[in-house]
Amino acid sequence: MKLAIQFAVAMATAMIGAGSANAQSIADKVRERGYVSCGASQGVPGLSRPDDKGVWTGFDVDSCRAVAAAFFGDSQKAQFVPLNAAQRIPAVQTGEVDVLSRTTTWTYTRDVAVRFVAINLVDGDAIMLRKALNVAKAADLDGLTICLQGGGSLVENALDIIEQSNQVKVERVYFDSTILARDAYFGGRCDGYMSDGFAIAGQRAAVAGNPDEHAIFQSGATTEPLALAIPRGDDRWFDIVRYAFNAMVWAEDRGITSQNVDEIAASSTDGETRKALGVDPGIGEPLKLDDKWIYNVIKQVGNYGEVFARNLGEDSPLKAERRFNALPRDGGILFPIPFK
Amino acid sequence: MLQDVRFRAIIVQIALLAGIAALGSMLFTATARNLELRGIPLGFGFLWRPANFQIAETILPYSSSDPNWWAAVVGLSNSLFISVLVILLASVIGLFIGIGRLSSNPLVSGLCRVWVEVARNTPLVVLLIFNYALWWEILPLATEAWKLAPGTHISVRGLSMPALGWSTSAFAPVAFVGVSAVILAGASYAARRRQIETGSRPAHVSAAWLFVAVAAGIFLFAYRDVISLDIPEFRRANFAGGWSLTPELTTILIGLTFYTAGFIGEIVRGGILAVRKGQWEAATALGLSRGQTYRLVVVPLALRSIVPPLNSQYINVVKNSTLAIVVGYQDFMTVVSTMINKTSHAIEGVAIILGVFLAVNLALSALLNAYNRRIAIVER
Repeated sequence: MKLAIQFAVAMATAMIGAGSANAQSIADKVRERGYVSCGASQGVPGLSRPDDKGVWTGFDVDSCRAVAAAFFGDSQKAQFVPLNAAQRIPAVQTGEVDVLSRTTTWTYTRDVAVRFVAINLVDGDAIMLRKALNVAKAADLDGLTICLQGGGSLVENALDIIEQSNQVKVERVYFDSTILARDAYFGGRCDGYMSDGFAIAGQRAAVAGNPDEHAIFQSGATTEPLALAIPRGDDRWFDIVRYAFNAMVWAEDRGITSQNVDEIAASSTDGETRKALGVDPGIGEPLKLDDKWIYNVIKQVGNYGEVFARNLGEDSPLKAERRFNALPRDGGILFPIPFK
Repeated sequence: MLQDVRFRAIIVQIALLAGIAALGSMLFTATARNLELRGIPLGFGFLWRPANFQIAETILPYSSSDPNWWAAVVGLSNSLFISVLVILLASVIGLFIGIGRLSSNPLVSGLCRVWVEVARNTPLVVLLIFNYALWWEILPLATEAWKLAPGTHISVRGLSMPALGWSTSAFAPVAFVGVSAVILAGASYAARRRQIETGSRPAHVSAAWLFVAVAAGIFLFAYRDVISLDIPEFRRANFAGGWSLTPELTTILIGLTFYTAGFIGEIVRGGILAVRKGQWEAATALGLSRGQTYRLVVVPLALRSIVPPLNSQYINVVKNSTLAIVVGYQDFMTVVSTMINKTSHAIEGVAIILGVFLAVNLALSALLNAYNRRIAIVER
């Protein structure tokens, strides 16, 4: 009897304790843990994939490293959790990852479940097909079999749109990972392999035995804002992630690169630049960060253009074009928010 | 009154029950509060909204505008379909492996042993992915498909063969013949029982069979235009039309059957070894052949020690069927996970998965326990 009461009291205390621990802010939790936990893909070249030494590289990886550079002053203080399409949102909701940087399309339904922070890439659906099939327009897809990742991604919807608007019928084979879908395509199981445009370009460049045998068809059925997401309920963490990403865009706008940032910090006479790079004090205070946090992002990760070129663009095997992912003056939609 | 042992026992029980109930409600309210804090809505309303996703291969009719609950049912039917087929196939194959392991022929017992060892010592996921990769390692591309028979081809895209198709106007006679055949099969069984008991077989059953056969023949002739053969044709990249067996379904069936049959083989072997030597000798003394000894004496006796462990193997099959998605076959678990991703109702979705698997496995278990009671030795 006594035992039962003691047990009940102990449980109640434990629960209240657990409740308050859950209310701890994300930023404090990350500081305590010593690294940022990033949600990554299961291996998409150019976006997020461990290299042959096990080091995660890619555009999405660098987006998360920028947060680590801003928060800890060290871009290496980030660890990556591979997630499939169905796991990623619950992983953010439960706080398993602090930042989701994994080609996740910003949608209304998802945004009321997690918190989208910034669009880091704009992409559309794409299908890799064997060149021998001669697919030039959506109507040519009729009767073909497409391998793709299931689990509710927007790419699936693009296929529905293509079917409805062109009066065609395609067969689908769904997998729980885009990697298995890709291997099934290369094995001949499917005529096409569908995913996001950059992911498709990466798989063709890095995995195809002979990239010239495969064509990429972009229907333009969907334009997808791929965005960074965090758990809800912490405005400070929201600010840190948003401005860590903005630091890269802003740096490109100002022509600041990882190579010349020291030089510009030393020589600049522009007030905004001097303050942003921590030459003049005060930039870190509102976020309770070091004054050098923007400098660290640029120095350790680079500006948006550098990160893009390194992972997806001209310095990578993908050779993808920037299209929407450029500054307004270059015909894109990347808006730098002033550090004023 | 407090000195009364029975009274005290009841009080303790009540207190314990109240404690568990309080703990449960605390867990529930704490979870609900935490979920609300994180903006995760709770509720099952999403089940009645359109699913808006496709399922590649289904047993039941399904389109993406159907509600979520129907998508879950369709997924469950896929899971049960493969589970039932695998349980049947693996039981039959497992029986032969168990007997083969005890064979005095070294080739037979060796092969059965290899089967058991490979099945038992390989992770199922690896086995499935390996099996799936074999498709495109061994089989030719669709453009160079092997022709097995007229209209029947096998390639990396699966097996494609002619199908018997009929339009809806032929539905009534087809249904009539089908239903009659089922009723007659029942009647035949009853007649056979009667023949065993009384020695005389009711003559009208055979006459009725003859009648249905003639009726089927007449219908077939009368409706020969609406009943047609649908022969698959090669168009651009795929075979279209006819009936086809996909590599995904085949891989999960073969892989899971191979795996489970290995375990069942060992259970069968154990069961057979548990039959006393005297029973074998008695069967030999009666002049039964080896096949008869197995069929009439050993297997019925071995069943008593085989059925209880088989129960857990069958439950494992149902649980292992959730691995179907690694080879591209969408099962219940996959469908509900997709639903979770699209609606963000993770807690409810996981609760549905757990509840449904619990219900299916408890039902399966109850069925096998009932069977076990029937075959158990009746103590006199």
